[in-house]
Amino acid sequence: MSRLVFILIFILTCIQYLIGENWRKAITAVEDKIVLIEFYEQHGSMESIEEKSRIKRFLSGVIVSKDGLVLTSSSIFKPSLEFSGSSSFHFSDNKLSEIKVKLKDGTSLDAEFVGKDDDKNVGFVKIKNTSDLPVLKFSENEKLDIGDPLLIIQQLGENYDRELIVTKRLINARQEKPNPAFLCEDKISTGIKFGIALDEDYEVIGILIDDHSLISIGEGSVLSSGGLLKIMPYSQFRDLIANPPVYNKKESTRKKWLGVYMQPFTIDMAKYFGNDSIRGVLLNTIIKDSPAEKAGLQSGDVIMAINNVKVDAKTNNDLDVFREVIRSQQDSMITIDIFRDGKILPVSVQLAETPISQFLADEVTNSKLGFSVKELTQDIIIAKQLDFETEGVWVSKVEQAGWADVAGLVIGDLILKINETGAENLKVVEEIFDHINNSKPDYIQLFIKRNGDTRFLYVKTNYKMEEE
Amino acid sequence: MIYRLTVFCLFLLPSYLLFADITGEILQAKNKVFPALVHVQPIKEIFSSGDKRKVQVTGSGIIISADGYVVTNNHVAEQARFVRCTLSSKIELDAEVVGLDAWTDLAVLKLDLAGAGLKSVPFVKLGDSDQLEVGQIVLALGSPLGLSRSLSMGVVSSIDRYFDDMGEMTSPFNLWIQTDAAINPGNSGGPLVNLDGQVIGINARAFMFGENLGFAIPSNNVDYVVKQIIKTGEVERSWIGIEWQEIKEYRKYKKDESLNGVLIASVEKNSPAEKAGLKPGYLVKTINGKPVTALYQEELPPLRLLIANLPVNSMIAFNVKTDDGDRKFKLVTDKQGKFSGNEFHCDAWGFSVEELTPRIKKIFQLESDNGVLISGVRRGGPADESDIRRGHILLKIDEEEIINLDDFKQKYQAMKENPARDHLLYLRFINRNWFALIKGTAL
Repeated sequence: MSRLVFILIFILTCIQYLIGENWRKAITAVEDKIVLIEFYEQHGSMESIEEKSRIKRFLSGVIVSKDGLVLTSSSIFKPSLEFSGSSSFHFSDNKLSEIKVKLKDGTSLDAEFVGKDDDKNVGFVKIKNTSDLPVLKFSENEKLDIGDPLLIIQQLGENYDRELIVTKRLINARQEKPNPAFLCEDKISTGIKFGIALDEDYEVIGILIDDHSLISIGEGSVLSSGGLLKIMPYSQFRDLIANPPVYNKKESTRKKWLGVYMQPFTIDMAKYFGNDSIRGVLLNTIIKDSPAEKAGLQSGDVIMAINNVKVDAKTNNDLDVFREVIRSQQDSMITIDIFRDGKILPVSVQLAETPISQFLADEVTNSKLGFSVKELTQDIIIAKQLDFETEGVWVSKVEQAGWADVAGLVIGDLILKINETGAENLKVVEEIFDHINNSKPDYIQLFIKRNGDTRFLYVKTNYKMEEE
Repeated sequence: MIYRLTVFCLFLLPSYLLFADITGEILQAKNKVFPALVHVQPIKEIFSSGDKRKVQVTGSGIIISADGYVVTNNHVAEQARFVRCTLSSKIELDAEVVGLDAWTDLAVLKLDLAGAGLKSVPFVKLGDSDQLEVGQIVLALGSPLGLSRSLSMGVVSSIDRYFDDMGEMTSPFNLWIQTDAAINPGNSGGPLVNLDGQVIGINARAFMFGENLGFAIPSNNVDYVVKQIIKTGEVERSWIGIEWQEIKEYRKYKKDESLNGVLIASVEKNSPAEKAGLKPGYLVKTINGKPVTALYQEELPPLRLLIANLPVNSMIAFNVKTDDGDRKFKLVTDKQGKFSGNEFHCDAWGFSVEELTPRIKKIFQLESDNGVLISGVRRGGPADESDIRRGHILLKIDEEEIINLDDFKQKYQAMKENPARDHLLYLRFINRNWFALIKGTAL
């Protein structure tokens, strides 16, 4: 009995020693590499042509290169750069400006936005004109598993002078798909969803990420991020530090794209096709002019392997893995094995860059008429339920109570003609706008398409009053 | 002159006499219409969430002939399996649906007089809605919220209220009589009556959250539709595939206030108008030699009627002003498609399907006529399990194309004979496809 008590006391003392002594040590080792990023988030409004509102935001980051590269969360710049089915319109595509990075000693340095990777939830800013900063050293720990302890270091909010807070967590779960991550119980919310994770040896093994998928409400996903903390291991973003993604409007770094919609291929389906052993991803839709279409892929094909590596999708999560495999291909030429009409055949596909989102699309504005148009991008085509081959420009902004608004123009309308001229692309629209601005007509005719129907709108101008 | 004289005379009357007079007129008008008022209670069979269900609704109606024809709203009588009617004399009797017209929201019922031991029933005549004036006193009779044999009074607030396409509540062929007489759900199908006791409208709409904003279908529109339904059981209309637009602003844009005609706003794919070469932006000046013009929106319904009321397969000639000068076009009208399609319930697969109507094709922007619409999916059923959703268009089963509802029914019935077999369904939703496997049931 007394022996047991002795052992207990011994263990407790050890823990006391280990934690008490070394947490400070852990902080000291990293604190000069953790920075505060201050920036302004520009909010676009679809009801106003000028972007008026901006909000000051704070984020944490860590210095990952001597010349000032700072790793942070991708939430620093919210617009999605690549097309996807849904996208919020309330963010501006203007590059972030007035970014300041505040070091441990209080110095505030100018920085600029570099780019982000939404798949990995990381973003980068770069401190200008600097060369000798302390760099946070990451290391890989492949042995980490459920039950292992992690130290999480985060910045506290303004009320606590951005002091660092250390918490000890246990790995409660491992997420394998689509990207490996550790999930920990999360009781303390610091408000800033960024931080670093250390293992028992106080090596920095990963970062805390702000994963939107934890917030999405749907079958099988967690209702809110409250309660779960997600840690991405170093192996997942090592290459990004070496080669950070670049945001530069349409020249932004983009991932590879096949151009299909797909669904799980179940064992029951395999049985239906008379071959139980077939596993893969079922393609249901081939997007027009996509790499998939060019390679001759068809609706109903089952992809069984990419570059001789087998793929298998029984669930929607498996589809995410497949998507990730395609997106992260380095070489754009790939070979896939497909199952079609009872036979397996190899197909070569030349992958393309993922099409841009409407945020990156060019926009032309006529502030007098009170509306803006953008070129059509895949996300708008999908959101507006248009044919994939639709061409033209769409109304991206309408100034509230402006001339166009009064005439009944609505965001999302496709503009087919302005006056008598076809509005095929932005260049033509720009020319028409120039002409209108010079000739100042009393009425402008817009031929538009809305919900499948066309109609004419007449914009009454009032140049005279504007000039008075 | 007569009108002015009357107003003048009215002013001379002492006010107490005036009120006594109006009460008398109201009573007189009510007494003429009241015996012909009907409380309508259809039992509807509706398809909801992939299941068949029965519901009872309440509406109103008015008898228009001694042998028992009753006018009510389409939205009261549609999908009715069985209609129970109560006359204002409280006699109950059955009725059958003679015909429906969703485009005008009108329906005709026939009372089973013999079944109730009656030879004839009291009826009223339809008045002339073209004679209506704003400000005129009107009465609304019916069963608001199921409270049968109710009367409310108001004035005509507007005689040419126009509503643009409102989806299910579309009314392309008529303007509306707006009244402040209280109209509530249950008044639907009941008469709006002038002080002569003539039915000048059929009450059909009220605005949610609005007060004293009721709308009735003018009796002259009712008259045409009801006669057609009694004659043939339906209203057949001509269709050419054009959406019209008024020219009020077009005139200003063209800086020509003397322009007459009506603008083509939209031409539907594969329609007679498209095949004839008519295009949006053309200004139609005459139809079959008759000059047409629509300066305001309110002038569009009569214009639509002009074409719709022609017999199907009529030849129409247009004189059109285009940017390249005046041109002539000729085309042959098609039959206007159904407003709402028939539904069919597939219990074994856990969904209901509906035939594709032109309206559904437009909503889903479908190119082809093939397929059927999934109109409901039963939770937990086989279709639900394989992620088939309401709004999907079913195009193929086991690689065989589904041509229409009848074709689907045949295939489905045949497949039910062999329930152990799996079936692969090929569906489309907007611009994406979906494969769904319906697993056979082991015997």
